[in-house]
Amino acid sequence: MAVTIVPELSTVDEDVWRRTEAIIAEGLAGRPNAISRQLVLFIRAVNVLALVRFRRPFHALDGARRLRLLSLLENAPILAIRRGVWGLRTLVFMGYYGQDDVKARLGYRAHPLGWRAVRREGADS
Amino acid sequence: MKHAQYDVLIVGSGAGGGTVAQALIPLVRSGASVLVVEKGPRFRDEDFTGHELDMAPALYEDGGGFLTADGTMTLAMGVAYGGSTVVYTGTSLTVPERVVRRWEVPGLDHADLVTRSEKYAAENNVHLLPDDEINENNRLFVEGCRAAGYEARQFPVNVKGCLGSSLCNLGCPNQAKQGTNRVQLPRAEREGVHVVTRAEALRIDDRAVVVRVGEVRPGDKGEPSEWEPGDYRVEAATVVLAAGAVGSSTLLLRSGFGPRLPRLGEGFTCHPAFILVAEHVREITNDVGHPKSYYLDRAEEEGWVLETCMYFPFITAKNLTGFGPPHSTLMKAFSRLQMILVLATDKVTAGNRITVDRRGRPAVHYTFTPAVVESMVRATRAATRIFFGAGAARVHAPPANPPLIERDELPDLDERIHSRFFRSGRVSVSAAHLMGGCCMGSEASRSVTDSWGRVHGYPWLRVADASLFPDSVEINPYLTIMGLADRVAEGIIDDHAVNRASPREAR
Repeated sequence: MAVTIVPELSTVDEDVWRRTEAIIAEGLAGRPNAISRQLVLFIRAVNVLALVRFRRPFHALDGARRLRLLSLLENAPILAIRRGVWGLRTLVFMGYYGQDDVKARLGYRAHPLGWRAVRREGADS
Repeated sequence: MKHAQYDVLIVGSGAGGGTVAQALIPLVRSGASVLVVEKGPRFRDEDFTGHELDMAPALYEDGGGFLTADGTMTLAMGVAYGGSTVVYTGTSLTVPERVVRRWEVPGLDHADLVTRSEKYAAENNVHLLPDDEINENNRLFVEGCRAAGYEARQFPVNVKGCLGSSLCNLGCPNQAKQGTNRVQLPRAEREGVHVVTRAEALRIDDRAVVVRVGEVRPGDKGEPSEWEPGDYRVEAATVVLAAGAVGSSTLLLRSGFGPRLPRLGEGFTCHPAFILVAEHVREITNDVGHPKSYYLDRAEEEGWVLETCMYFPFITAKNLTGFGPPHSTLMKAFSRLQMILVLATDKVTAGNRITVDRRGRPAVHYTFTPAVVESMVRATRAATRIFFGAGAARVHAPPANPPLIERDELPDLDERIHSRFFRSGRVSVSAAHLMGGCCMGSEASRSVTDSWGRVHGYPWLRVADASLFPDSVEINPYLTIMGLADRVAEGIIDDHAVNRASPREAR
């Protein structure tokens, strides 16, 4: 599911995966236990839906079908399902985009020294 | 349980609590004792790293992920020495006359409130940033507004020595933002006001507040508390609640004030907000410079405000709708992204309220009314026109499906961006301007306090934060909170003078 949400995760090395998982685990650790339980339930429900619709568990679907299923759920008429997708994607985004080297690859350059850092960088180059 | 006794106890140290603490300095000079208890820690300068995942859990209630009861909106509440003034952007506006008139609070005068707010604006170095400190993200907003037929206005901001880190919402790493943590609280402490951090008010118990002082956990940022960890019963002749709209309402509800104050927790409102991003064909300066320098105010006419903004990668990723390749493509364009924050200036609506659950934790009940959704949709259309007017190639609009709108779709904007695409739970909505719950008024049946923040039926108990607002303030609220808190402090000083003159009537 994480790979469906952030496609880059399909090509990253073990270190990035480990960091992604560690950030998600830390994020969940600071939240009420009910959140983790709801998340587990939601992931199970997605697998059941994949079986019902495509006769395969979610992880055995091709990328296009995974994306289609999660998109359907993101637009589901039932709020609890939409919330489930929102929670899942929020965690995956936190795990991936929370990493410093990922931010740097995106071109995110915010620095505590602000304009001074930009000018220094310009002078160096 | 340990015991302590003060003349005045202030719960919370943000725009309300910090202001009251400083304004009571004359009382301290005359021998009174004043204590501020703050749930969050006192951060050291070096604690402000600007790292998103490092700072958000330290600075915000629930790490910034506090959800409304139905889970469709996150609420941002700062928890620190200085409260939410540590995490705001310092945008400094005074309350419009129409808002105070609509509040209809007997004894609350617009001119008086503005005079008080302006006193704090001057104290906090509020000014317009010079042109050479405005980044392209903000300049493009101004250009886009001009092209779309709108007039952008510049935000006065309360910074001193701003380096343009763009990290305001993660706590200024350069101590430039003039929140109560930098101005009012240090001044109050120098004059003898006591501030105890990591001190959570658990309940009010007959002119006393039970306070739990927490210890520093491994990995925590900030100083240890000034008091030993443990529970304290702090007695005080006057108690001032300034724990924010949710915090103050929750504390009163948890302490059993509900039956005698039927409006307690009612009248909650906020400015629900989401982020719009637009992709330009070239890189722009967006992650350096003050992030919020301009705005477009259509609150009076259409119930919305647009503000420039710049958020961090995870927050940005979370706020874009969808996932997978289209989402990833937009994130890879980060250095070419322009951002605008859409805010709906929601009015008080029956049913939107604060309650407490069985364990005394706050539950904020909030529903997006059709009027709010329509405001957000209209604001999104306006912002999209502004983006394209500024030369953007495409715009990501949450209330559109698919959310990416190309320039050649401009003629179809009313159809492409529509309320039928706004599905709560799918669109990431958050709010930082939380208001109401202890609204001012003249009668206990219709309000919780009088116009001086005194709780009806409890002359020793006052409220001094945004929970006093009877309805939306329609602007960034901190200066209005400071103005109201200044009135609360004046009322306390007047009471003190009366009590000293007639000791038999004291308490």
